Amino acid sequence: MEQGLGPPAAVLSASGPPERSTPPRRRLGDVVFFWLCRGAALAVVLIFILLGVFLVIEAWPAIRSTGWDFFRSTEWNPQTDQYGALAFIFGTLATSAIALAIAVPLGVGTAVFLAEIAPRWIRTPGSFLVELLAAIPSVVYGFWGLMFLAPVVQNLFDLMGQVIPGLKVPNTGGMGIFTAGLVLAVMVLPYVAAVSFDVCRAVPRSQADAALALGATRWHMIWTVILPYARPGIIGGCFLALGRALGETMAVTMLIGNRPEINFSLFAVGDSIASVIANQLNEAETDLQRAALVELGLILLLVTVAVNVLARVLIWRVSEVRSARGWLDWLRRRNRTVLEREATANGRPTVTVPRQPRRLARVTDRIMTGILACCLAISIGPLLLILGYILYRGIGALNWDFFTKLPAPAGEPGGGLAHAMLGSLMLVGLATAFAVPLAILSAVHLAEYRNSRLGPVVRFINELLGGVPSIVIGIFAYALLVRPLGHFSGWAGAFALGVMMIPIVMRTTEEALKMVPDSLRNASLALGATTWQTILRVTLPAALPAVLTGVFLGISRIAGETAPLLLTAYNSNYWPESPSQPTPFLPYYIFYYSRSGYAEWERQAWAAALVLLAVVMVINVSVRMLMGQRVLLASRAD
Amino acid sequence: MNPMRQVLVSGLLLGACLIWGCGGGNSSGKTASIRINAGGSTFINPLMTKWAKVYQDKTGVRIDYSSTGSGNGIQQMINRTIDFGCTDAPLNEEQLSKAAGIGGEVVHVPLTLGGVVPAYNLPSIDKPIRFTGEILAQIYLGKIQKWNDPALQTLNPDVALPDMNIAPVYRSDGSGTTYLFTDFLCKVSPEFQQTVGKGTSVRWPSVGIGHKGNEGVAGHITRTPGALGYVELIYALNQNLRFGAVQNRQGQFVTASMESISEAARNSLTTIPEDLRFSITDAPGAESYPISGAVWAVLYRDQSRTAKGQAIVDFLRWAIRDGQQYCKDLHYATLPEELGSRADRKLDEIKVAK
Repeated sequence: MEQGLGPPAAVLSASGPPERSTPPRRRLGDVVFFWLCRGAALAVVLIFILLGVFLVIEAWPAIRSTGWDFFRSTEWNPQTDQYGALAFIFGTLATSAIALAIAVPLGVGTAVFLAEIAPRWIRTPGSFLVELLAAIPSVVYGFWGLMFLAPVVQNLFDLMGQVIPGLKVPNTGGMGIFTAGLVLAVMVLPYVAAVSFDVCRAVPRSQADAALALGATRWHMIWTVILPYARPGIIGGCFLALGRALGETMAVTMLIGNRPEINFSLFAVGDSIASVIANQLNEAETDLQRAALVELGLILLLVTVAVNVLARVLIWRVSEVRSARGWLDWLRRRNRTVLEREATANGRPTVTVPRQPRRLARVTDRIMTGILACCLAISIGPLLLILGYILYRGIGALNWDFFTKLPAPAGEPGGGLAHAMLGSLMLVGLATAFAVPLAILSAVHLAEYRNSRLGPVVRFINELLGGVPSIVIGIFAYALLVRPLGHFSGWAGAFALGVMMIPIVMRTTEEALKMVPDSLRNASLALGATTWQTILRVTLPAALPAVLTGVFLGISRIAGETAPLLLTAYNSNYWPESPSQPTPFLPYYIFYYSRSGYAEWERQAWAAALVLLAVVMVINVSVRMLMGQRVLLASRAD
Repeated sequence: MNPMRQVLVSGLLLGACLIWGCGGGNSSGKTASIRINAGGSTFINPLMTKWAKVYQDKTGVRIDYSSTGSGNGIQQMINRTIDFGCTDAPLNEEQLSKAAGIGGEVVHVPLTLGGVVPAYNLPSIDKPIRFTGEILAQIYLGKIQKWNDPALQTLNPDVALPDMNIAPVYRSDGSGTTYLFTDFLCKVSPEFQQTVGKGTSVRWPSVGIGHKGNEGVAGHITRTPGALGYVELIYALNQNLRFGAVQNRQGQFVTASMESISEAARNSLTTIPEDLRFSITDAPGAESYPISGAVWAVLYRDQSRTAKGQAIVDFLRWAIRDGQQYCKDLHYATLPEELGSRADRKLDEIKVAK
């Protein structure tokens, strides 16, 4: 620390108590840094406002012509230009509900098992494998669901039809709301699990050790200390998952059946908002149809707003028993009333210290350990199935040409997708360069300047941004950067991807920064460091592993993204020359080649999927290896 | 401060990648060749990539085609974000008037022909099943629900149709395939015209399942015994799907092939309007396959704003002349000679710079 010792009170840290006696002397660096962060946060707000404005402009013809009927009618008929969204809203909510009902218990169970019970040799690969689930592109999930899951579901339904008399099981090939919900559950599970894992690991060891020392079993410790402590973070993770589930497109559209109707049957087929946008936007016949589809995107936005408001109320409710201490108090109160009731029934004096029978406690502990371990196994199962399937389909098509050549015409052997790999790298690189600094600075604003009144607004808007389906961001980027300039460009594509990345990086960074103990900040400030020095050199480095996890979650999310790029980067069959030209991207070829019908192209599609996954996996493994040590250091600092 | 350094280093690496990505590409593409941006119809993409390759080898002009869907191609062409669009359905009046407000008159140039076939999955049956338009319409309206329905059985006396539910499958995305199929059904079935209508995406009655793309429909048929769906001929051939013969206007049952599709166009020549926005579904002639259609290149008649105008016209002219020889290998039907000439004359109308 080459910085001279300055008066500690000179720096007004939001986390420390403000000293009123000595007026804060603000340094230029701090002021600049503060406004830098605030500017970034404002930029995120501005992006969202622009998004909303452009959506409303694009949707206006439909809003004006359909009015409230849009929400009341299930009739969606491009031929008569009648548009009602009710069936799509139903499908979106139903699939998301199924997904969360499965993913939340499974994800939290997995996270708890990995964080608290699993030995190191399971924890490290286990948490890595679960996170890898988030790296698989939506379109690949869709294919897996179609090839593997849907037939299984149909057989299961047929079996039900045979066992239960009078039950009429339709032959949908396994398509439907239920199957779509199942695949969605797998897709959002890593979001629940990864965030829950991080917050569980962040619970102070002293608390857990204390519980164990007092004679609690491990399960008891998890239930009374870890989970209550980690609860806000877990809820945060669930909403992350919900955001993803609501806007999920490709996998749902491949599995839901695409028939817009409201049906509560287990075998029901339906349609979702994101699915119909993806299905019809490119081929919209009339301007009104196009506007109605954009209005659906707007509704998706409003639904996420409603969900988020609900979430805030929920978190506010549980915040009463949010701290471990409050939770323990509540638990003790409850136990006491139970015991008192028992005691009066027996007519014996009240027992003051509540005790669970040791035997029962031990049995419960074993059972729960088993259940949690099962959660992990169930979570990883689909991953192995999917990876195995892609490896099986893709490995044969990998050769040198694939990595070095431009595509060959249909029906001709050879050719490769080198240009698309380069183009994808360029798009993702540009998006990262745009999104990460913006997101980290905004997160710093949220976490380090907690007194700012802007904070809650930015956080809330960021939540909303995370819920915007990718195709809607595509429309936004198209309206902002493609139409006014008159041509497709890599810039527009990178911008769309960047906008998708911001919420992920920002949320994880903020969570990570909050976990850094205030003692570290105070120590740095006490040594005379300024606020910006403290943030850049102490707080951010301490939070770095979690921040990088967020960055790479973000990259893996955008690397496989297709829909928004169709409207912005547009693809190209030649080498990417500059970002101002239409730019090729790898997922496009997975998307198009896999359905081309030509054997050679199909093989290359699977090879491309394999390459995409391999790249993501390599990134993830190296991050793990590089940062593994940091995770330990960070927890020791507590 | 080690971690910060790591971040710095990875940031620099990333930057280097970017510079390499942009710069490296630039140096290889310094030839300053003409690059025509086009997009739209997914149906024509395999042929278009072939054309692009051959044409580039021949002339050095690059055709950068993206198969984003016909509707998207039309919209991008109207907004001038691409040089020409390709579409399976001609522009409708609304699109034409929108285009008129932006870039004036739009020219339709037919490039190639294709057909839509009713494909099915009936494991026990190896003879092609015969369909009429009316029966297909009844199936998609939910009126005919069994494969051994009397109507179907009397049409196919020598085929033992199974007592099995028909599971209809249709395209959930907007598609030229749907446009051709519904256009045909509307022509032969007043009831279908009344309740469903024609278009790239229509409101299907409450039967069946929707799937995205030809591959979605084809895949569903392969996996689901009893399924019936409509796919493009090319797709059915490449995927070895079984498909039926369809009764044409002359009462003949014709199986789709490149010849019977070209025949439909040849027999419709007299009815094709001046602007070449034609429909050749339900075409006259004993050999005509009734669910046939064209893919058009659409572009503004006035191309004088761009220096590429002449290059675009040259490429399109090559495609409808020399380019036709590549159709056959890829299972596309060639334009009849006279239609080619009329398309050629359309190209003469395009105003280019100079």
